[in-house]
Amino acid sequence: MEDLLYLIPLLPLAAFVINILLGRGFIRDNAHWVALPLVGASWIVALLVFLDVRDTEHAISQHLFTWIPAGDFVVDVNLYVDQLTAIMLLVVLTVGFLVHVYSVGYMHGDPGFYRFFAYLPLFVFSMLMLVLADNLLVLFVFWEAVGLCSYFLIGYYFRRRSAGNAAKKAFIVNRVGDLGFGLGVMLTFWTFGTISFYGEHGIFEQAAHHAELGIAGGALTAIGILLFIGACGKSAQFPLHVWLPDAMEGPTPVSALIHAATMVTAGIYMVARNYTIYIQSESAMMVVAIVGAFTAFMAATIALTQNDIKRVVAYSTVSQLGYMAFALGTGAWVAAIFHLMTHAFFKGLLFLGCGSVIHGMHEEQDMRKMGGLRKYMPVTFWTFLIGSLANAGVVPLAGFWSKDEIIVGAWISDSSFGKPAAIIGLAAAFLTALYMFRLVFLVFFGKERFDTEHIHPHESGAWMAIPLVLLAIPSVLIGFVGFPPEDGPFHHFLHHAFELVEVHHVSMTTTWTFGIISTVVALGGIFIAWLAYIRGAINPAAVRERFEGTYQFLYNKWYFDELYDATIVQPLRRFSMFLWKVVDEGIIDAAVNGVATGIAAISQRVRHVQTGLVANYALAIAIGMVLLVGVYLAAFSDLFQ
Amino acid sequence: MDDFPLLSTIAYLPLVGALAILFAPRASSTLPRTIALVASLASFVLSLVLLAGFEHNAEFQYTEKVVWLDELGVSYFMGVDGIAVLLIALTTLLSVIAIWWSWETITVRTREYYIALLLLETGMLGVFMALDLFVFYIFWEIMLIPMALLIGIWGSTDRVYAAVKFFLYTLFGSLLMLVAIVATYQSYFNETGVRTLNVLELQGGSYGETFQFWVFAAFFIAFAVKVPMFPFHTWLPDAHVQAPTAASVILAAVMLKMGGYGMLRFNLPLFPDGTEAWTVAVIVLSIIGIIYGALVALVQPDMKKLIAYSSVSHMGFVTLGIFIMNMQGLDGAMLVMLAHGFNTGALFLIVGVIYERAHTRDIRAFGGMATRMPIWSAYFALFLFASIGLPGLSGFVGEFLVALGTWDYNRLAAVITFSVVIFAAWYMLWLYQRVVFGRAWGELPDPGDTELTRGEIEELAEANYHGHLGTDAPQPAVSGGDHDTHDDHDALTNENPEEVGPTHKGQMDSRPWTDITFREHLALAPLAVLTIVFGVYPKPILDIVEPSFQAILDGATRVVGG
Repeated sequence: MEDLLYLIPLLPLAAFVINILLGRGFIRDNAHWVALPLVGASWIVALLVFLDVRDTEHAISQHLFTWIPAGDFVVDVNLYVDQLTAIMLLVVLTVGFLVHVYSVGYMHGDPGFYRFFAYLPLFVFSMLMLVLADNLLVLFVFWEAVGLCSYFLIGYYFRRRSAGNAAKKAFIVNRVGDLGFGLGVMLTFWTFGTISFYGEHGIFEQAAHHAELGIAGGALTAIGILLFIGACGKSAQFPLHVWLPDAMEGPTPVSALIHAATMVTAGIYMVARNYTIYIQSESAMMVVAIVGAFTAFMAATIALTQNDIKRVVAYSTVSQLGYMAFALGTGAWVAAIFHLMTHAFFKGLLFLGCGSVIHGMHEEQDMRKMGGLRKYMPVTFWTFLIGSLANAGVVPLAGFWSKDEIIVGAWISDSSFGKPAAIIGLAAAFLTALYMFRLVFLVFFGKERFDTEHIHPHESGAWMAIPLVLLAIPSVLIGFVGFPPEDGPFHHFLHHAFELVEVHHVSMTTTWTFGIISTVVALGGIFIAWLAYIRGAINPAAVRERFEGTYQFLYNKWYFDELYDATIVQPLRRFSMFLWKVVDEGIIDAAVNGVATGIAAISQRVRHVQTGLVANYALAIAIGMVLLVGVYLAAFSDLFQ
Repeated sequence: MDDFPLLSTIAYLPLVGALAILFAPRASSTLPRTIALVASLASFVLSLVLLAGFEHNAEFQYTEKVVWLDELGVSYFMGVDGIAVLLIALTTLLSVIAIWWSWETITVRTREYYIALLLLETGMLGVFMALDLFVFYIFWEIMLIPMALLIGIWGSTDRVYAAVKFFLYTLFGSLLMLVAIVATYQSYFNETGVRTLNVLELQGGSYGETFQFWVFAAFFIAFAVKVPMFPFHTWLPDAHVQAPTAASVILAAVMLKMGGYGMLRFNLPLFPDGTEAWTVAVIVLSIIGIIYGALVALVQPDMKKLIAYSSVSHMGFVTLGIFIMNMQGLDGAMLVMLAHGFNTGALFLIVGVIYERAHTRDIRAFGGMATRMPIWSAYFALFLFASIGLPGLSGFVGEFLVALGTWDYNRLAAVITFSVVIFAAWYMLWLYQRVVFGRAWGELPDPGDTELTRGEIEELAEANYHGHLGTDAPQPAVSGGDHDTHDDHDALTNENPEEVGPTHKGQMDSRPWTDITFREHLALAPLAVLTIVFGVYPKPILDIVEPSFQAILDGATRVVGG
């Protein structure tokens, strides 16, 4: 199997190359017939690899080539599959393939059809390489590459100014994270003398034995925090979360694949991959846990007030990523990856459902102008309901098992932030149920709040409906791979990837208690949403008026954009302007021109034909040169003595 | 083959071409460019032969030595090591591209134009080959005049000012270098009684610390002006803005590299003590330049100026990488030099494409080019992302290696240096969004798109951002073809922009824009391939230069240690 690993990334790459080079001239509207089979074939190879790893319980790898040999800094490009990578491969390719299928329907008739089906496989390729990388720098390369795909896909409708802005913002904010990541790579190299993950001298082996090897624990903490800055960018954690909601400018299949299911989980994956470094540093873990818990809560509060259907789901994504982050920070490694996987399915489903709604409503995204869509689009409704229940964490859907495990994991962890994190997690779980069902009730129930004479909502065609159904199935069932909690097949499989983690024994009482609390909290959120938006017992408008200040604060997303603009963007622009106008032109250039004018004043002959100037200067300088050399030779050397 | 003077052949083929043009019949208008292309192509092919035959070690190869002025110790001594051989290949390639680019865009004084371009190529090649300071200096000066003429005669509106500024700046540097050469020569003679200008022999001399301090500075300033290094950089934006496209390409892709090359060839091996004394100052200036160039690029309204300031930023990596004195830094500096050659050279071609169609480089005049020129937009994206150091393209490896090497020297320095990745993305994506994304002037939004028309947005944006630049943004005048008429009505300086283009706000501009032509494809495609190949597989380059760098590092540690 090792020798075939290269096929997994190569097949989607081939689809990209073919469509980008030939798409415009020849393939055009048939671009999906290139992308679908190749991505599908990649999925089959990945499945075989997964089975191979499962049966042998050994990681497999393949050496491709030596990328950078710079002195003792040598970077090889190797593909590496262990249990963690195997799961990521399947998640990326399964959701990726279904999103490809869905896009055939969603992007039908778009003038940039071939372009879309070039970027999408390029993204799949980059994401696969990201999880296949066996050293930090190659991981970083594809970390940036997925960012590039994200840039082009957010800016896909480039004629819209808002799309261009969102794409730029996403890239630049991610670059802030990448700065941290890049510096983390450098520190890793100068600490360990290598950036390869595995092997006898790999960073993990050294990190595990850092005390014996005389490597300072502080270095590990610094590496952990720098890498996590990168994860904050990619996985939209506070304070770098601001790009993800804006990224909804991209076509909806993109939001589903990149900005919900896969790319944004790259940060979570990366931290999990480097768990050996994190478990050596309590401080680094603490940072991860606090940032994650804060993000989970903050994003959930914002999601309560948004009116754009995609933005609600986007903030929900930020919030769920926060769950994964604090799971990592409290040492619930397997639970984080478990939630990553279940989230990929149900959040992918939710976004595709949003796309179906938007499509059926003729590009309308404002929930205030929807309502009663249940009877117009039943497939979308039922699948969306399943996704919402899973996201809200209702038993026995996928989200319940993974979210519950995160909360239990935080509660029983050794981290001093464990119990607060669990409580914040429960609070956010309540909000999750509330905003998800606010959305469901506003969109699918009640009266039609749109002009029924002009807008005729319709169910989407088979290309779009089938992926919805196919994603709804794992959204219900995939949670059972983690059953019984802490002891399911999923845990046994992933155990090999997290060998150094101590397995906590969780008592049956704790498991049951938290299971019941979670369920009550989720149902409570749904109940309140029901009271407010179906029953009418709570008037949302009145609540809003009563807490107008809080509402505005949440509605304006805690004013992060305004804060960054006022404290970073505008001052930097003014400073740059100062450097250009004052330092560059005012001081340096003025000095140079002053000297030139001085020379011109002395030399009387400069007011001649323009092209003559150069020659005159040449003459003047040549004479000066001869003089200077002459003076030197005469005074300081013995040439003429 | 052993005795065949390959280096001289490569260097003088363009000169032969220039002479041929000089004596060719004046009547023919196509003959000069044909001769120029043939000569430069021949030179390029031979440089590939040179590259293929180059053995991966630290020795100077293909040496040619003829005693010239025996009593003064001057000899015609040429030879290449790993550093030079790559820069020679870069020079010959970019020269071919520059000449090919000028094929139809240069319509006035073509004979003189191609003579200047070929003379320039000979000068540049000689600089990279010369191992005798006297010969080096001659080539160094040969290169200066044609470049000043290219800017001064075939440039834009303010070309004379830019040409003079360029000339004065570089001549000031040359002058210091001449003094330094004479001083080194004299000092070596005083010590050994041997008169020589042979660089390899001079490396064996031991020079006093004070002497090294001053002579190092003189050499260094000469090269720093060329790089250009902050604060000697202000000639560059003017020169680039005014220069014709081909000259901009040569300037950015090759001439700036002479500075870095000079430091590697002379400053480091000849004056290890001087290097040590000046290292901190050079590193601080490099880092200032990296950040400063990026920040100033952030607020440029002119595309060429923006790219020129980005060059200041990129070239800061070169000087930084050279002076942190470790293998990662040196490897990185070399890769940055080559990558900057491909990417920035290509970016100037990219700007050239629309300048030749629209006759303005003002960023505010453009918008929505992705609809009008999709292939051009794709090339633009490729080179732009290569330039901002996207991994997998050529810009990344070099800049990362320099930052990595810097980390070992000083962590804070590395942090500041690497933070430029944010600003680089910022200015370049801002440029790309304004020019390629969005809609053109007055173009209506798509059906269902609720946004304001482009003109309305611009008015708002003008009021907010560019109030200081005047409220009337110039607009492109479309010529549709790819002829640059070089009229002096440069839209940038035109007092009344309404005259430039018949479009005005709110009115759809429906005239066709020609996308990349076959001629332009032929120039851009090789650079596109190179930037991808060396991003994915930079190993061949590193294999060629590492022995030479090892020699430099060994030399530095030997003398400093002893």
